[in-house]
This record gives sequence, C-alpha cells and structure tokens, in this order.
Amino acid sequence: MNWVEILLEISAGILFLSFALSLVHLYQGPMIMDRINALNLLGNLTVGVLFLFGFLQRDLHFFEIALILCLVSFIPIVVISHFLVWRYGK
Amino acid sequence: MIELAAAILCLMGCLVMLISTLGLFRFPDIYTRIHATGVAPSLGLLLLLLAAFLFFPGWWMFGYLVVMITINFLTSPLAAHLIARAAYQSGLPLCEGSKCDEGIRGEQSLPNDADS
Repeated sequence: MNWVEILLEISAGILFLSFALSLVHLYQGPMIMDRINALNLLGNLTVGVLFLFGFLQRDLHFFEIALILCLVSFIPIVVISHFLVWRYGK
Repeated sequence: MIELAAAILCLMGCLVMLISTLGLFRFPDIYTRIHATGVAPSLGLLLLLLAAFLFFPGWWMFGYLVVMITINFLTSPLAAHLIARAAYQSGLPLCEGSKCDEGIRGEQSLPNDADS
C-alpha cells in the first residue's frame, strides 16, 4: 500500500465521520431548521463521498453521478424552505 | 508525485468538510450554523475537484471542473440563503451575543449598542 492509498483511506475515514456526525445532527435537531441544515450538508458530503469512490476505484462514472446529485440536491432544500416560510412565516 | 499531491488535496478537502460538520455542533445559533454548512463545503468540494483534475488530467475533466464549480457555487449559497430566510421569517432568535439585527424585525428583537 503506497502513500496515495493511505491518504485516500484517511480521507474516507474523515468523510464518513463527517457523514455520521451530520446524521446525528439530522436526528437530534432540535429545530426543523437544524435538520434542514444538516440535510443540506449531507448533500454536499454525499458528493464528496462519490468523489472519493471515484478516486479509489479510478472510475469516472462516480463523477457523473456526483454532478447530477449536485444539481438536484438543493431542490428539496428550496422546496422545504419555501414551505416553511409559507407555513410559519410572519 | 502528482497523485500524491492530489491525495493531499483530497485529504485537505475532507478535513474542511469535517470542520464544517463540527461547526454544526459548536456554533450557538441557527444562523451561524448555516454559515458553517453553507460556506465551508464549497471550499471542500473545490479542493476535491482540484484533486480530481490532478488524478484524471484532460479536457473532459477540465470541463467537468468548470461545470461543477459553477453549479456548486450557484446552488450552495442559494440553499444556505433560503434556509436562513426561512429561519428568520419563522422567528428563530439570534444568539445572545448578537449586536445587530438589520432585518425586518430588527428593532423589536435586539437592542443596539447606541441604545444602551
């Protein structure tokens, strides 16, 4: 195992730790805005995880999936935010 | 050697994302947490994209880099802004140390330094 693979696996560990912490925040809340915020971060982290898979597998298909996910992952945030403004806005 | 540089960039990007995630737990109110999660992941993704360009150099990856940076730098602040707007209009309070609230409910919620 060379240095590149070691660094990539450390990166994977860090990213999965971030993922786990974001899931904890998504579960804990306490407010709904915290959950939406954690959901937004989870979208970005998922793109990062796909990049890392692409590096580790040397496969470009993961990058295409990451592009599509980056395009669509903010749409639920927009919809939920508009709903909350409509429902609870002053 | 170039792959090592790419792996270091990848590690830095993941560290930035971890710091951003820790901001979710450390910052006092929703607005600062939105700042943590709205700004830092863009930098993390930028570093990961640069690493991708070093891993797979070529015109395809350069075009991908440009498209991805454009999309991410348009959508990420938009999502953060919408969450913050929803939080503000829902009446969520700022943290105690906040000095100024320039929004629509500014005078009602927080005193200015000049008033005290």
